[in-house]
Amino acid sequence: MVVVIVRAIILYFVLLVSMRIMGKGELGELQPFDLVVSLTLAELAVMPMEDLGAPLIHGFIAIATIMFMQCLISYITLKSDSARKVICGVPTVVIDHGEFNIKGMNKLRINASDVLGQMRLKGYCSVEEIDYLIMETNGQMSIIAPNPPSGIKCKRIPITTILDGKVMHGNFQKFNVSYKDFEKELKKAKLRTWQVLYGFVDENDKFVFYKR
Amino acid sequence: MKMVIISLIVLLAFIGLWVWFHFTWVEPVTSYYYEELDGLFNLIKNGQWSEAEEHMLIYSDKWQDVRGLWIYFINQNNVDDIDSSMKKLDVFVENRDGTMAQAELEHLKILFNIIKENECLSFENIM
Repeated sequence: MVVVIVRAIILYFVLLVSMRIMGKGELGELQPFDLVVSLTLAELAVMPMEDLGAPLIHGFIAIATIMFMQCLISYITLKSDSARKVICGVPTVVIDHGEFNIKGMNKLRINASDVLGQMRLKGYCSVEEIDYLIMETNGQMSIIAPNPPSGIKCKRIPITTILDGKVMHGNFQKFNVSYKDFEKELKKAKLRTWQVLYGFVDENDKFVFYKR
Repeated sequence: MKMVIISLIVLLAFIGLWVWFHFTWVEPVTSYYYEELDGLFNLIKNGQWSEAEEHMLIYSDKWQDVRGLWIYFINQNNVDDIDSSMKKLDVFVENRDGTMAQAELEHLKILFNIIKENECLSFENIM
């Protein structure tokens, strides 16, 4: 048992030194390869801690290898723009002035619901409030808007009527939205439900539809 | 760039350590035991027990030296297996039990061979 404690302490310091050498980027999990390193290092440190039969040096060698790969990849991405594009990817514009980038969303494997959730997290109630919503290479979404978030001023959150071409029947009942009005407005917009990526009723009871 | 060089130096140091260990302590030691145990096999087969006992003493002493270093680089379980097999062989030779001694000898050879195979850089080991 004492051996486990001693091994854990040694590996703790080895990891600490490795993380310091790899730099601050590693701590923030900035890029896909940073995440890979974090996951791998955690597993590598546990392996010799638990398996008393395995020499500590096996853990050290594995950690040293990952540390070198991390430093090398960081250096390459810093120096080469094309390598950075391959390793880290490029930011994707998900919303551009009210237009959903369906191709980009499919590539990122996110749906309208994920995008709306991110918008709400940043304090924006409506798609109309923002100019751009961009998925950054580190997986975070950033919003560029002409005005600060109106979240606290929002009278009511937008009531989703259609999401990814599916009518949200539950919301009509829950929020007392007239289905007849919805159908009328949809007809007026010359749209079918499957053609709509995101439809909602805004705070002024206006039906808004975003085409696929 | 500084960090790439530092991490490369650390990695190269470990690779250097592996090269030194492999070519100084794994290859020669496993080959030594593989050949010597063949000789011991013949001694046992011919019933030359006192000579076999003398050889066993030499092998055991050498093994203690090797073991002291191997435990830092090789999985403890593999080293323990050799330890136990060596002790068994010693007892069988001491009691002049030919059949058991020959069987244990072959087992010991396999254990050394496993170490040799596990430590070399081969496609099978990587996969």
